[in-house]
Amino acid sequence: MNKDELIANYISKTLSLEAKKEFDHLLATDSEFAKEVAFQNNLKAVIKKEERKTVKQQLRNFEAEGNSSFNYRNWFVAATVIALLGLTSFWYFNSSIDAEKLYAENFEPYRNVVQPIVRGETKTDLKTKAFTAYETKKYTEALLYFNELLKENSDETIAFYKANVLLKLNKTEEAITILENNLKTTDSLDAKNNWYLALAHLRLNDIENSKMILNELDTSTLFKNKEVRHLLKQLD
Amino acid sequence: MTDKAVIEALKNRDQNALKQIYSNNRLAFIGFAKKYPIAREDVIDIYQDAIIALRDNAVNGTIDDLKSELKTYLFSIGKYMIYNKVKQQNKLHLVEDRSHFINKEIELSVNTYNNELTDKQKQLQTAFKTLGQKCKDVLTLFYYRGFDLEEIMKELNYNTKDVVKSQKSRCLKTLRDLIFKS
Repeated sequence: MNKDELIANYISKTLSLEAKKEFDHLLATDSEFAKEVAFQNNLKAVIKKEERKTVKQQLRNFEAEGNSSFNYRNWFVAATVIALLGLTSFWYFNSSIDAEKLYAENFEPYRNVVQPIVRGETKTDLKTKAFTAYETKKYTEALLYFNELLKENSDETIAFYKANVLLKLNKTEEAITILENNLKTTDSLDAKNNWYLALAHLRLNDIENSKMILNELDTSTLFKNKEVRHLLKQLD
Repeated sequence: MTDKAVIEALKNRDQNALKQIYSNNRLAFIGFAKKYPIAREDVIDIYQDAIIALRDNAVNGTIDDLKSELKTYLFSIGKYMIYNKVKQQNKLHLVEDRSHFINKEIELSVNTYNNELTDKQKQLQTAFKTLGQKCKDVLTLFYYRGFDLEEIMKELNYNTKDVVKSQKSRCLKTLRDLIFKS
């Protein structure tokens, strides 16, 4: 076997035991050979990297195509920033903390994890109607359905979504009442209730209360931890 | 599609299979990652890297005889990547024992995944990019997918193995000239 074939078989991992011995011997004694092996090993690493880059781009494209909520949020943030640009001078002179802006940057109605909505399915129960409206951002309609649901029986989870709707509809005080009521009992929703409560206070420019709740969130839970810390930093 | 069929399709760089496995497991992975203090953008990034590492291993034949479900395997890779990320962020002291769910080969593929290229390799990368498509194809089949000359001949419709062999040599020579002259 010549040297080229030895290296080719080494790369394709098809060296026989005997050839492997020859390969190792050459690698140790023949510097030109060793240099060529290093070169081809490097080439292998480079091509792998290139392949990964191509695939990563494909996956990013899938992500962009298939998951519009992501784009939606980006657009929302972008739109908010643009809308605020015109007003920055006003805030700049009035307050060092721009509560409204921070609120807009951080508030996003909590996603529906209660009632999976399957497109094309025509369930007509109240819960499905409520969350369909919620998911399609028809918040006024959603509010009516959530009220109906809560009349049937009081449910903290439904109340939590109602609070989200109220925030979206600028009924901040009403939302605060619900969230505070929810927090009277301890359960798995507490972190989420607190997060939205902190945002609601922020919106009313009640920085102190907002910070207090965020600090508590930071120490007690990992929910939205990155956002919580980021927000706290900005409020300081 | 069975797991075996998916692995086979990944080997053949089938975009649809890639998309399928990506979207089929995406939400489950995001849900799974919620337990850890990682931003959503980072979770998506890690998920993509896990898919790429899985594809690498499908291509190089490591998982031809996969004992577990493909999804389990993907999640093991992802979980390990999440652990590395959390460790990096230094936010959490992991008390969980890793040994029972990580096998050596997953550990290896994850740990080598983020290896930066050396300076020499970067130089070579620049040179590789300047090659014509024919060269890139031959070299990628040989060095990345592990095809032998005969398989490359069939894949790229060459007439004989010797043509492939000399084509490959020419491409290597071009590369050597590019990097060793500078």
